[in-house]
Formats: sequence, structure tokens, C-alpha cells
Amino acid sequence: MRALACLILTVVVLGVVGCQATPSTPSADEVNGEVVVSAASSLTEAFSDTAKAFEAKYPRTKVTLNFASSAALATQINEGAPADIFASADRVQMDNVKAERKSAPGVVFALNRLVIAKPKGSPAVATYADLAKPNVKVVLAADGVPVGTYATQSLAAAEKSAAFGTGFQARVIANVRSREANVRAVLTKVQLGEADAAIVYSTDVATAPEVEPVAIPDAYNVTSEYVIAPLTAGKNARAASAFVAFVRSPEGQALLSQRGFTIPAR
Amino acid sequence: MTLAVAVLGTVFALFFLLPFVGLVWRAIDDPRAREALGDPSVATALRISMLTTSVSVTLSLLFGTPAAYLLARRQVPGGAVLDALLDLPIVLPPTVAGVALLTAFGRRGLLGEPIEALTGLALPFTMLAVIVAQTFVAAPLYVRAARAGFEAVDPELEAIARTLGASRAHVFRRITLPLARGPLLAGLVLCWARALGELGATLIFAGSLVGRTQTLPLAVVAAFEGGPLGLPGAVALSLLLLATAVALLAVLRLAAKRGLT
Repeated sequence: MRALACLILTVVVLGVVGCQATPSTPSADEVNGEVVVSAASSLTEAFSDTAKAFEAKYPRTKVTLNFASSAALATQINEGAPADIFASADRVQMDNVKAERKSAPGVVFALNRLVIAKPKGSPAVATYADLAKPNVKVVLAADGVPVGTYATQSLAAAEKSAAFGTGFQARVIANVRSREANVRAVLTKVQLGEADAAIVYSTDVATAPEVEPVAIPDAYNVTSEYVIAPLTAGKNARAASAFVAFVRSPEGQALLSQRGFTIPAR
Repeated sequence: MTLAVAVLGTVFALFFLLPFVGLVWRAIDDPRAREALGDPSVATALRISMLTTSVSVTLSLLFGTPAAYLLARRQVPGGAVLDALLDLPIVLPPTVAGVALLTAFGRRGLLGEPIEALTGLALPFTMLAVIVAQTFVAAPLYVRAARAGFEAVDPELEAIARTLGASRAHVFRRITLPLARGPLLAGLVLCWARALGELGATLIFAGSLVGRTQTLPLAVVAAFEGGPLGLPGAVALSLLLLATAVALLAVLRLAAKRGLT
């Protein structure tokens, strides 16, 4: 009797382990159903492409995309939002998701750079230093929102250099008129012409014809890291791991690259 | 039949009760929520909320009372249009109100652009923008209630007072206003509650900045969406707004009771 129980247990354990050890590229028929992807706002266009290509490759799947700031998504996931995938615009928000909510550790799948966005033809800002000019209306993302965190890092780096000098960061912060909930809300304020300048990702500027970029010099720029992980709250673990694998596949990486993201070295 | 009604009623009541219980429970359960209540940024948001709503409610009274009276007495040409126009912000999603305000008073707006060209002043991102957004969505609630209140006052009474030699202003102050007191107060409370809860139009039209345009509801969003206060902060701020709402309702109930007696 005990031997039998042991045997059953062993089979079950092996079965479970076996499932987890399934190679990351299962056949198209095995992967099916809905995959809910919670992704950073800046991935809006890129992940829409990815979802389309993923559905084409696995015709029995349906990808549902949910875009917001990574900070808001992390809160939602910790509160039990039923997402299969989290794609965060920084490590901080991926780490903010409780370990038991992730079924695999996060991996970096794309990189981005910061840029200043200004209304096309606006004379208010021509260089990074101009952000500190009096009466320039600057909009940044809120604290905790990845692009806001990166912007703060960039300003702090500029502050340390002789070219900008002490007080640069404080002068820019004094020019900040609004702290928006996500990078696309920041961009919208520039598109509307309400803000003279904003710090966003270089990929965002390409999505808005009313906006043009002003470069942030490399010395003060920040490389942002996009991190993806499958979640335990999801109902579709198999499709979730297939989605992560697809994003990291040459095909998935090419789609990101087309939208201006940099591909990390593997 | 009775059982069905009882079950439906209970489910309905629980549906409204549970979220408040949850909020209070979370606030008690999570010590960080209580800590967050003491955070200076909470006091700042409360101050901004009180300041802006006081002004927007005052503006609603100042401009809304004559409008409501005129509408009630039907002395205005185009009154029906004004009436419909004032109903619009009540049924309109506040986010639409925010976008609409930008197209009028934004830096590229119909009025905003020439004003900035002339004076260099722009409305968005200022505390004044918060007040404009609040007034736009909340004042119609006051006007609607005040209008119903004025309509309930018998014009005969006003006419008699006039024949006895009282001036129009005197009649309004001594006859009309006291008789319409209940509905006016109800309108004021509704208007204030709506202004206090204003989120969508403010976010779009005024932006969100601590100490300048970030009211309590905006602070809830900022905390929830990853701000330094985090979810406990969102809970604490929500509790504060809930308490304010309960207090406003209590005032309304009390006033209604006194108005009836």
C-alpha cells in the first residue's frame, strides 16, 4: 500500500517536473487560449505588433493587451490581477511584484534611451540645458513610473557635470508643471502643446507626428531595461511561456527593433 | 415573492456596503496606511483640495444663483438652450470635459492661445485650472438644485411683497432665498462633493503636481500608480475622502431635517 502511494507520488512529481521542463517552443497546437499581457505604456505599438505575430504563429491563441505605467501594473498584479505576463519598463517595478506572483524570474528583452520631446517647431527648448531656462513648462512622469525614475537619474548625472553645474536639477524640477501617470500621458501633454518639453523614451517620439526630439547627450543619458516575466495568477502558463520565448526569439526581437528598441546581447 | 425581494435587497445593500468595509478594514489592518495619513504630502493634497473646492463652490454660488433664478422665472431668451447646456457637464464623462476645456482654454485653445499671446499667461498646470475644471463639472449640480428650489417658491408671494413697496433685491433676500433655502443647501453640498471628487477633467486640464494641482483624488491615483506613498497611501487618502463625503452627507441630512421642521 505504502509502496503504491510512493509510486503514485513519484509519478505525479515526475509529471509536474516534466511539465516544467517542457522546451520553451512547443508545437502550435499545444499553445492555445487567451494570454493576458500587462505591459509598460511605452511598449504599446511594439507589443501590438508582437501580439499579432504571436497569434499568427499560434492561431489558437488570443492575446489581450493591457497597457499602463509599470508601477500601476505592478500594483495591480500584487493585488491579484489575472495577467499571464508582466513586461516592465524597469527592474524596480519587476522587483516590486512579489516573488510568489512570478512563475519565473524576469529577463531583459529590450533596451531604450531617453530623449526630450518638444512640440514640432517650438523654440522654447533646443538643448538639454534649456530645460532649466526660466518659464519653460516641463512635464515628467510621476515618481515610481519608470521613465520618471530614469529622468531623475539623467538629471542627477547632468547635475554632477561641470557643463550643467550645481542647481541644474533643482532648476529643472522647479520648471516641472505636472507629473503624469505614464509615459504616454507625458507625451500627450507635449502633443497638445501644453508642455514645452518632456523627458520620454526615444521610441515614444516616433509615435507622435506633432512632436520632435531633442537629444540628451550620452554622458547624461540612461539606458532603460525592459524586463519580462510570466505570472502565477495567469490561467495559461503554457501560452505565457511561449509568449516570453517568442518575445526573446529572433522574430520577436526584430519586431521590437523595428519600433526603435535596442536588442540586448544574449 | 417576498423572499426574492429580500434577497435582491440584501445583495444590493451588500454590494454598496462591502467596498466601504473593505477600505476601512484595509486601513486598520495595514499599519503603513495609518503612517501614510501622517505623511506631509497627504496634508498638502488636503489643503489643495479644500482651497480649490472652496473657490469653485463660491464661484458656482456667485454665477449659478442668478442663472438658476432667471431659469426658474423663465425671463431669459434662449433659456432652454442654457438649461440644456448646464445639464451637459452632469451627464458628460469628466475626461471629455477635460479635453473640451483644453480646446477652449488650453495653450492652443480657442481662447487660451490669444490670451497667452497677449499676456504670456497660460491656464493649464495652474491651481486656477483645477478650479475651472471643478466649477465646470460641479456648478451645474448646484444650478439644477437651486432652479428647482426657486421654482417651488410661489411667484405670488414675491409679487405681493413688491406691491407692498419692497425692492426686487429686498424681496429676493427676504422672501425667495429663505423659502428656497433647503434645495439651495442641498445643491451646494452636491456641488461641493462633486468638486471634491473631481478627477478626470483635472488630470487632463490641470495636470498633477504636488503642492500645486494635486488634489486628494489625484493623490490617490499618484499613490496607486506607484508613487512614494504606494497602495497604503492610496487607502489612507481614500479613507480621508470617504470621511469628508460622510461629513458632507451628514450636513445635508441634518439640514434637510431642520428644513422640514
